[in-house]
Amino acid sequence: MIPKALVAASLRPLMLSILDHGQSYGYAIIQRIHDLSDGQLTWTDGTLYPVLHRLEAEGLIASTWRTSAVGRRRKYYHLTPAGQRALETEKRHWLNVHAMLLKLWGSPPQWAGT
Amino acid sequence: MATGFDLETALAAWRRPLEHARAFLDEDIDELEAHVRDHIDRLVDEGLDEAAAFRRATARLGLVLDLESEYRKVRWVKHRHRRSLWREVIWEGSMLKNYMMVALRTVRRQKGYAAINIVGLAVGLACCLLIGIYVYHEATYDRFHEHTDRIYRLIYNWEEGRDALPPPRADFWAWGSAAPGPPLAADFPEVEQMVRFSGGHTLLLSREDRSFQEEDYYFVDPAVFQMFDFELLRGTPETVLDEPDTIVLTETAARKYFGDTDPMGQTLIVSNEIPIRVTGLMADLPSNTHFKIDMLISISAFERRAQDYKFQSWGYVDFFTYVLLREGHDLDALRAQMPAFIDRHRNEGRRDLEETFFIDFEPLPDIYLSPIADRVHIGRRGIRPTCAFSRSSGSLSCSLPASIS
Repeated sequence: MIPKALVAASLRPLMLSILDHGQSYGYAIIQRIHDLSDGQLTWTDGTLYPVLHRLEAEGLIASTWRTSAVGRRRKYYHLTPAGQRALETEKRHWLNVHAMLLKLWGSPPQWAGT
Repeated sequence: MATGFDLETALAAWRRPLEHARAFLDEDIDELEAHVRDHIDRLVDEGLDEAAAFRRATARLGLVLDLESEYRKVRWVKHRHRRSLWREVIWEGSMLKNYMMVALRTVRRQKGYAAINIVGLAVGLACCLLIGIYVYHEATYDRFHEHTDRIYRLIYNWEEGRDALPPPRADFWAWGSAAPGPPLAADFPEVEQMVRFSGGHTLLLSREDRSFQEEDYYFVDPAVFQMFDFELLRGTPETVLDEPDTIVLTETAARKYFGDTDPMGQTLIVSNEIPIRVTGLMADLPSNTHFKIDMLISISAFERRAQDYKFQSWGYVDFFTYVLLREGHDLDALRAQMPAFIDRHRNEGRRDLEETFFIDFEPLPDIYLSPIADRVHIGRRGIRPTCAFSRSSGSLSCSLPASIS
């Protein structure tokens, strides 16, 4: 189980990265993170929305209300140009950290190919 | 399928606490509701019944309290800044409606406590208002005269020994002699008007079969209506008491003697022998003046019949003297000239007197609340100002717990 502090830190790059693949709405984003984490990240769903809202307040993502085919109103989020840049920075930071840790631990062969 | 479960009702009930929490906008709640609905759809697809799916989806979303604190971190600050003034007003208005509803519910639920609170608040506010009005009334004494700031009352004292130092001003007397007034007005150009009041005894006044012992009467110099803004309803302020043996009545006093008939020009008898003529009618005095007056009689009516010493002696004490000083007067300069003035008129140059006489001035607005002369007093006396302030702070301390409750 990944500790809370690390979950909180990783949500930002996760969300930006998911939206980098195209616009999406809250439930789908959260579901995606859920699927990706394979149960290793735990949170209460509701607390993920404030993270989205914070990104929106920072101007990294923007939102529009749309009505889906089944008639449900949903708030769709998409990356802004500033969000794109922020994502690049996040990527660099996380890869840096990742590279540092790999150097220290050596490259475990069982992960290398995946 | 579980009976009695209606998803829409359940969702509406689930929404309600969110709507009451400050941190959420309607839009936020809509978004969360869409989330819950999506989740329920999925869980139902997986084979759960609606009720269980609803429970799991809402539980998964988290407690309202936790949610609110998370939302507050982002939302609240952001929206405080973003809202236009008008939207802010609407928001606050709807919150006010909410507070009112909560308050009403509390009142309904706890009638006893609510009654204590409301009555307490009402009593507190009422006390505060009353004390406020009282303090305002006390603090505005004698300020309705146009020349209030230029009117002073003479105060006196004397000490044994030649060239003695003046005693503390609190030991001065306002009750003094008739003698200093006229030479003071004659000697100093800055003294524009001088009015002496003499009263404080009882005076038998009659008309036909009606007789009354009057207490609030004063013999006054004719300039009284020029110095003070007592409202003269009939008669001319400059001349109303010029003639000897004339009297100005307040409306109440006039009604007492003349009923509804016109008092002007009519005659009243003083002490069963002296006829005096009514030459003016004045409005009853407002309550915020230190004077207590039912009638004013020309001072000549007194002077003509009094033994000479009463008006000439500096030792016969039966008068209150007020002066109106010219605009831009220098009170300290006038004060400094008093010893020489006293020497000229009272001591008449005699250097063998083994006593020193003092004259000082106290401002009219101070007479009621903070008189310098603490002794015999004309008319009404106010409570001390320290007392007035402690009362106003009392009103504050009275209203504070009330406003808290």
